[in-house]
Amino acid sequence: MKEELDNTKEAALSEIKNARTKDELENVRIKYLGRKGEMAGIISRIPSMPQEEKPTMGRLANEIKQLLIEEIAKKKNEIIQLKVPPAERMDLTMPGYSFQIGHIHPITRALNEICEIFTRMGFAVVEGPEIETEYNNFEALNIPLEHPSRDIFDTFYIRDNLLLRSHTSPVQIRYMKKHSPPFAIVVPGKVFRPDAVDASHSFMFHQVEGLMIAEGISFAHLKGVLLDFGRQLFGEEIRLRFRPHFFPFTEPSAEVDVSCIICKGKGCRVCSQKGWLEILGAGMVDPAVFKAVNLTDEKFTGFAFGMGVERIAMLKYGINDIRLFFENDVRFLEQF
Amino acid sequence: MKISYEWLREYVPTKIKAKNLAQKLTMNGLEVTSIEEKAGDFIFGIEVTPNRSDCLCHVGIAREASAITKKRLKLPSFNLAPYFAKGVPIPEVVLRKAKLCPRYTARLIADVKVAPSPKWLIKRIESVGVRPVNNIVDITNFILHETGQPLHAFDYDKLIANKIIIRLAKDGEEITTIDGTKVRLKGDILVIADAKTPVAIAGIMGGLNTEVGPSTKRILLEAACFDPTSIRRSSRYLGLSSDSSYRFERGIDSSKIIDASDRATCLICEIAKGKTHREKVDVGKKEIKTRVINLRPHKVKLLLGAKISNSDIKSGLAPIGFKVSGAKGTMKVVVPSFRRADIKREADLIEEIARIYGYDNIPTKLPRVVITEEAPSFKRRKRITNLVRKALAGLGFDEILTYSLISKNDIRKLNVPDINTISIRNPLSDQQGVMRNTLLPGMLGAINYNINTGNPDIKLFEFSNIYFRQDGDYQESPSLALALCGNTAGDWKRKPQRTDIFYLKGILKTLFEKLGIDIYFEESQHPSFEPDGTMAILVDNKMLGIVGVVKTEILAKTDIKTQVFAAEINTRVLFENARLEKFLKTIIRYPISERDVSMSVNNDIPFESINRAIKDTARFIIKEVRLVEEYKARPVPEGQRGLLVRITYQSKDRTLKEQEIETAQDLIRKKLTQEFNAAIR
Repeated sequence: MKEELDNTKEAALSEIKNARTKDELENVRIKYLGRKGEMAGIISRIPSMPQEEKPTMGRLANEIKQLLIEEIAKKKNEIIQLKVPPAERMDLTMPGYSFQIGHIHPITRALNEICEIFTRMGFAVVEGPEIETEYNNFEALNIPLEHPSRDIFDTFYIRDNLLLRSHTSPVQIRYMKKHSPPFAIVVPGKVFRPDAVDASHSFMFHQVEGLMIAEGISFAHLKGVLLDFGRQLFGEEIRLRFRPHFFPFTEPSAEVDVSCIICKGKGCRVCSQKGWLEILGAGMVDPAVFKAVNLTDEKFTGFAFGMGVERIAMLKYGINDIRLFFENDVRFLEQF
Repeated sequence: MKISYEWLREYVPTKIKAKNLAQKLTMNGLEVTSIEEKAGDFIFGIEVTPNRSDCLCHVGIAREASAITKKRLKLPSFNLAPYFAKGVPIPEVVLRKAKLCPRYTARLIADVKVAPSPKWLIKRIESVGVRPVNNIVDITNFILHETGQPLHAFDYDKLIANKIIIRLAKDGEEITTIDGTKVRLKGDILVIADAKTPVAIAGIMGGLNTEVGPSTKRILLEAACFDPTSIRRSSRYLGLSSDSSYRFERGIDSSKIIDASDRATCLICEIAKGKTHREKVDVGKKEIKTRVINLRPHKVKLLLGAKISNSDIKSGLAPIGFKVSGAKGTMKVVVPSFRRADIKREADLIEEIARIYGYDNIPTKLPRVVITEEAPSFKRRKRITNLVRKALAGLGFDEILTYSLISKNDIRKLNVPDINTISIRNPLSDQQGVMRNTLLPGMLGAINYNINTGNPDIKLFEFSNIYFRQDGDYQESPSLALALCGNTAGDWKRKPQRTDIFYLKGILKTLFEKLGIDIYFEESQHPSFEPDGTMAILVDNKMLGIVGVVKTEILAKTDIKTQVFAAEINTRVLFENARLEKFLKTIIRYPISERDVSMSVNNDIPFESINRAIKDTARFIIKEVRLVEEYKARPVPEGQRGLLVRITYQSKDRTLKEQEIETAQDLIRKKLTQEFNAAIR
């Protein structure tokens, strides 16, 4: 029987080789592999063979069957390819069809990226209203009504005691009044200040505020969290610089600079040859703020920080005019 | 504030280079934002934070520089004794408002010769941007920039009855200030008056009438302390500020008033050849209790997270004027007079310690984990919002961000009622006078901008807050708007096509499918959309939004010359109805069969009615009804349209028999004929 199998194999292979059309090939297939084909005929006789030969012959028959299937498939491909006359070949250098994909606004992107970094560290994202009370926006944050520290916070008013928040910090007050420490939150959102619009000013912009309150939180932790944030946002090689500063709601307070992401700190036009770019303000929560929210247990300490999202997006994406964010030119939007 | 490097070095004999000093000051919290080289000198532009009123002068900055460079502070010395003369009178001063003027000193200097200042003095004041006037005025300005104490010199002989009264202004009282402006005062403004009229707005600006001029012979030199809040309020009310008011608002060191006055008197006597009486007038609070703060060293370590020793604390605080005593447990820290306005609590001291220790020297550590949960409703909204943004971007829409403050006219243009809008009391201009109660104005603005810059094919969306008044409350809530105009993208194979309302309907259907919301449309009305081009977007009988063709008249007002299709979505309904959880529906493996029905019907029959009629006929075996084609040419009669509908049949539990399908087709054809008078073709 082995001989019979071998002969069948040779005959089949030669017929496959000689087939010129799909139909001819199909006929070969039916002749050898069809339900009533030659291979089926041989295989049907295997059960009546001596017990000791059955496995060998069965295996051989299957191998040949498999080989023929593969050869037929190969030949089929050849035939299909041959069928395309050279004159009808496609010009593959023609462009592919156009498709359009939309774009997420760079501010949304930056906001999401900033919040996601802090979320990975365990911070929760919290939002608060843009229409805010004067108390939450100022007094509760230790910014007295008639004090020079209020100068930098010019504000749009809706009526007495009600305004458009000039920073996201009032959400600190709202959150601390409702929740007990420990907690860590970030607050993204729009803020408003009556600044005339120019390349670096806008009466509406976005901030992300952060607040972490727990037992034993120190200035060293503030440095640690912000350094990790800076590295995730701008790259592992950046350095941070903390400079003493003044904010009414933190004590000690710091302004935080990142080593220039353009020149790596050597000094260039973007950083005004300083090698550093100011990116955020931060500090340890002022006792007056704790008092305003009635958090009197001294074992809890914490830090807060705030950053301008437009500023960060401008640095990160190389944008030199804040107005571009709100002009909504598709030539701008399509780059993000 | 401007600080001259050369002037500074009179008080700190340091050789440190200007650039290095600037760098060190910056790292100590006195940010040097500019350095200007001027005639061999370097002028620092320093941003002094509102808490550091002590640093609004050269001596103050010198004190910091002395701590930084470890060089002793050298304050100017002077001797007034040689200029004492018996015949000079002591002026009469009446302090009526001790609360607003805690201390007032005055000295009379006689026989002065008003003349231009010597060169060195002019150089000094010019270096910090002060215009020289005459020797007397220049000296008062010099002392202000040296010590931070504002001074004012009156022409004594022009004071009616040679008298000074510190009182509140009378309503409507007027004064012409030295800059020549006539100022109308009101009852809560503190003034310095003579027997009859105000001669200065206390702490802010002197009056023109009593100004020191070439004919002045005797001057009254005022050195006082005024209440910061009162000065700030008056300054803001009058829209008038000066180097003096800037310093009084932030608080001055009232214990150094006499020193400043004496030093100025000494300079005046020396330069303008004057003389003075041994005695001066000094009314109000003379003694100020020194402030002592308890400081716990362990609290310093805890709050800063740094191993700061007791001796670090002592050696840090001493050079900037603090006296520290006691070592174990709690330390006692005496606050120097010039830091009284700023350092009131332990936390303030800790900041000083950190500042001097150097923020750079505090280690960088990560906190032990603090994990906080977001509110479940917020998490859900965040997921949905992100999904909407991503899906719309995937569908080819660009996200825009427009201003929340717009003009009332922008809203009126859209025929949208503006009765519930929120107005800004102090807007920058009418262009940003109200808060938007719809996203459409921003949308149309962006479309107009892009058409004008040569990009007429636009698909935009915005997902931002709108604001409105409701039942007397001020509300804000997110809204979602979409708009498009122009052509679809095309290429060499597929010609670009004009977009229309159906493009937007399709986008909405796809978007909401992704959000698990099964929407349908019903004809509707909206003030901004064409009456026969508006559809409500519904889900389970709830209004999810509105979509339509923007009215031509509105587009004309916005200068848009092409059709615009827009939709605005109520995100509350969106958030409530979105289904984010996925659960597999069994894939039906029974075969599908497709059959076409071609008909012509009168134009006024809505497709949606035909669609529903077909589905209702054989609900259990119809998988989908699809409109394949609409045609209006012959042989379809006038007033009618031809519709080719493809019905997909499939059963959930068996293979459909040919006969079943044919029966359904017959029923459908019959129903269409009966209900809509359709001609089946």
